[in-house]
Amino acid sequence: MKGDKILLAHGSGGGLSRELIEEIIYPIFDNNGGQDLLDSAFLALEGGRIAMTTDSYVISPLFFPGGDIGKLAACGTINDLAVCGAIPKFLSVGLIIEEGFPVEDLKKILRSLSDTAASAGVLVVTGDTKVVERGSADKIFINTTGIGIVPEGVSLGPTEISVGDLIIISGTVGDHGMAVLCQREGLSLGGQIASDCAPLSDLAELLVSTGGVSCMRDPTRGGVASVLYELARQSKMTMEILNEAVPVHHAVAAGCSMLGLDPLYLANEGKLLIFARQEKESEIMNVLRNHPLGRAGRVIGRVTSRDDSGKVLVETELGAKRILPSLEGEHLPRIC
Amino acid sequence: MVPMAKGRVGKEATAKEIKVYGIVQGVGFRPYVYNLSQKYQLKGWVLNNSQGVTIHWEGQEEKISQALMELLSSPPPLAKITGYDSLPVPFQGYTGFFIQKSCVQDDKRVLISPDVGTCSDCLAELQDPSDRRFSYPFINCTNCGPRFTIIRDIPYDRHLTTMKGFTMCPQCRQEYDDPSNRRFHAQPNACPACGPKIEVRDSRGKSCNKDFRELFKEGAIVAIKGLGGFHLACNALDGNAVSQLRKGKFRDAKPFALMAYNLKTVRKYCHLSAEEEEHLVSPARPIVILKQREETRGELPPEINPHLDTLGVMLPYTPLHWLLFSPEIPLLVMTSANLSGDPLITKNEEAAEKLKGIADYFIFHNREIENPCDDSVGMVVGNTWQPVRRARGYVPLPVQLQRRELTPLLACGGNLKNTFALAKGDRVFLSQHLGDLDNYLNFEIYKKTISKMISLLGIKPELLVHDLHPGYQTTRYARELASQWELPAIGVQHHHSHMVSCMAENGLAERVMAVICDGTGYGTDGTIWGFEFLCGDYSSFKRMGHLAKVPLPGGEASIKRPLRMAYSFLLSTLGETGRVYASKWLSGLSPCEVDVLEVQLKKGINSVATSSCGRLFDAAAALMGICREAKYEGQGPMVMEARARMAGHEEGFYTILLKDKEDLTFELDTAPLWEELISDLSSGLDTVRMAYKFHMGVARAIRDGVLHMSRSTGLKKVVISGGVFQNRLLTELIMELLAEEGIAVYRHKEIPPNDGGISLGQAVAGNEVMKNVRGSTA
Ligand SMILES: [Fe+3]
Ligand SMILES: [Mg+2]
Ligand SMILES: [Zn+2]
Ligand SMILES: [Zn+2]
Repeated sequence: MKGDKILLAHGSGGGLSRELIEEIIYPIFDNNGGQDLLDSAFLALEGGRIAMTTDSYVISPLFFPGGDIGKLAACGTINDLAVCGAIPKFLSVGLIIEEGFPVEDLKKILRSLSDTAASAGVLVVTGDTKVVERGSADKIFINTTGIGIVPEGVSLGPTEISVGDLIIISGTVGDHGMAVLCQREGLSLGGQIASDCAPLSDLAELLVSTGGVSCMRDPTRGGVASVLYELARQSKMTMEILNEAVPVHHAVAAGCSMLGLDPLYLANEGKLLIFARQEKESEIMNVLRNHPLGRAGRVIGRVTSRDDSGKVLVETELGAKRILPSLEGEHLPRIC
Repeated sequence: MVPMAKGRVGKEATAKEIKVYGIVQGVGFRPYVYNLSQKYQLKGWVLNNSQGVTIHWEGQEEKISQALMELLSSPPPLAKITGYDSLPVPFQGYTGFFIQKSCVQDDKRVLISPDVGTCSDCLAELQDPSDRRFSYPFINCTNCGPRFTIIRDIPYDRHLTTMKGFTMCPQCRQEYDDPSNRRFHAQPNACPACGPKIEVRDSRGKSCNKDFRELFKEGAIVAIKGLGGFHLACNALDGNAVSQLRKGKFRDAKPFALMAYNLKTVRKYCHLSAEEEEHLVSPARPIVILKQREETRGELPPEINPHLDTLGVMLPYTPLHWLLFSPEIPLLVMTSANLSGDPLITKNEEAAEKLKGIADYFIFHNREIENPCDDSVGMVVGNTWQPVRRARGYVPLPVQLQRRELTPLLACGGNLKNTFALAKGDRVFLSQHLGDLDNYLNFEIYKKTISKMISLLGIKPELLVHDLHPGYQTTRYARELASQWELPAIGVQHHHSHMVSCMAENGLAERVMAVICDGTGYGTDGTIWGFEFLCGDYSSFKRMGHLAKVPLPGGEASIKRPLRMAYSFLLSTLGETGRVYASKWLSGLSPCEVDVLEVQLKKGINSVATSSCGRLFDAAAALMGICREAKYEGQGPMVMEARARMAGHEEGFYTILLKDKEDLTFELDTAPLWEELISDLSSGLDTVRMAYKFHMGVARAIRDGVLHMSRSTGLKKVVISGGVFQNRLLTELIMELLAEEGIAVYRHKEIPPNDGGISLGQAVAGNEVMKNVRGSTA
């Protein structure tokens, strides 16, 4: 392909389009199972209910320590399937590219997407590419849709949460949010902070197979706090977490204290928030400890009682229980 | 025409029915009327009903008038008569004077009495070895004792209080039934034979028979179950005990309250004006913040009030407290036993659990605390009382409004130092101080107290009022209740609430000016306000001026770390020069922190704009090196005020510029203030003088702002409110400056200027807004 920038004509449907698809995109997804990319993909699925999810990825900057928008687009959708107890199988990729976008960056992003999917055993089976005028999009937007299979007998969700369940996080919180913030705003916080962006399907499958998981979430935008808040409401439960039990990378903690942020509200892209039956604690913790993505996993709290309006309490280092503020107004100071 | 008496009654005999309103129940009113009737040879009866007290008097007209005069001019000490009616009624020819059984009516005009400090009669019994109640810690009578803290339900009758489980012995019963006795219908009446009992336990939970006084001599820290909750106490003159207590409570700097045996002890350590004394000995027995005496400062451990020149002192208010003192130990630290912002501890088991490791001994008793209630705090500013925290001794008395009739409503209050208010007609009942509602246990008590007060006061809200801050627990709760009860909810801007609170207390219903100096309040533009010049009435306001905005980098991070605030002020007001000053004078900030701050300020990451006055004080205190890290709320401003008070009045001031804007509004620019402050720092000026110049600078800026508003509106009255006005020096300076200009300054006198008072403003403003809404749709 000639030129190092994406042109409007690359999206016209003509020759340049074909060039882009055949010379750039196909080769990258070539190792993806060898399916011909037809107008529609034909999928053979067996052994359970089908789970399907879609998500669009817009992020600035496109490249950040620990990942890029391509990896994110694969992980995000794979993880959305994984937390439902589904085993992710197929992915579609829709690209919206701004005119003038560097071809090299596009290659890097797609390679990263493809490698991530492959590492999780997921095939990219169909896709679409559009090029829009300069200013109509910010560099590149990616949409991915994922399809997976929920094995027989697996049923996870807020309604499965019961009093006594343990609340477990699979590792340090806030890495992705802080890494992206630092990269975007040019902050250096001394230590290097990398996004935790990773596909969690393998770990999730192992966890689900213990039979002790009642609900799982990947605490992305809005962080652990928002997921807890939402689940507490949906399950009509009181959830209590112990602030000092929440694992936070020291550089993330330092950054948060300086910026006045709470790591509980920062995004994660490679963490599972797990609600687990208490009697399965040791089994689940074993799975976590023996998996590269779960080594820093910890029990951070418990579901303590029923409560019709649902609430989340955080026990501080001094032993006081504070009501976890909802995201609205979270950044607005309330103290005098 | 008055019917004439027949037979043996003199021909001038007549009959009158007198209805008395206010606090007239549970205060010995009926025995008092009984005795008064004997004195003036009047016949008839007296009874309690839910409107107050009704008296039927028969006798010589002149005697009736004299009795009424005496009743109005010198009622029983705890009675508070808010009004009375006197009507001629048919003469019945009674042969004696009777106390009739209470009757129940619907309209609850009777006020529930707050708790009352031990009276002199009871105290005399306590100290009289020949009295059957000698040394008994629960002595009380109709003139004193527990009230609000023991009430479960109304009417105020023993079986509806936590005295229910204690059956009176024959002697107590006799007192209770005898109209001429001081204990006639004293609901908590008790004696050693039949009443509550004390139990002293050691740190392992073992009962021990020790005299309380001995504990303090040992240097012990003692957890004491008081009236509204537990205290932690120790000998205030014992440096070890005091620092032990400070470690135990995790409070590294916040001043401890003291309890002094008598006024002589208070005077030894503090200056005491006539007004201060009056409040110290008043039945409410609040903690009064007093100026500490230099001469005896050295005798008290500095850990009591680090870096401050004031002491918060109260006098014993229950017999139990009196029994703690001995000639050797006339002064105790008496700090409420609540850890890390949790609610007051009120139960024995809870105290044993939560205070283990802190308390060496526990003084328990078996009378339950039904309504937790903190000690009230206040101070005398410019010769008048100004509350800081309104709770025990005042709650649940209402704030009486002038010429105002409010819809029954619930005003949910602020998020910190919370009080809520239930209002109806011309009365607004503020709850006791309930604290920080982000604390789960506090919030649970808040919800419980709301339903409790609704039933105690018989006010069924038809309207809910809340702050505009979306993150306040109270805002969310108001909306929740509104949908649950299907009621309208109205939001009132934080500083408008402050303003209306002060107006309502002073009976100002017209358009006035307001200066609100505050820490944090959500503005109508989504930024954080706090140094505001407002003009308006109960229903609306216009923001006439404010402190020029600066970023609040990291929100609460900068409130807790005032150094960051100083950085923000220097950069926003002085630009590049400010950055140079910052690098020289804000050495407490690490280079990494400065880098982050720079980025944060430049890109506005988590940095809302603020015009807060509290932050201005914080920044100045940090720059002067007085307080770089706030260990408790308001620490910087408090320490700075203490310093400033040591200065003479000729120190001068820092300049704050008033900048006119096109629409007749203005902004206060602090750029010259920082330049002058830095130049004083460079020349090594004493912080005492800098602190004074800062105070005077802010006071002058307030004067300039008020005069500007006054010129553009023609108004001459200004109310001042907001947490910053707990600063006595600033308040007094403003009053002086504005008096010279012919501006009338109105201040708080019954409720605090801080967020503990905003529920009153919410109630009055919310009612008015609702009236307008209804009026416009009608
Ligand atoms: Fe306020
Ligand atoms: Mg998603
Ligand atoms: Zn008494
Ligand atoms: Zn008795």
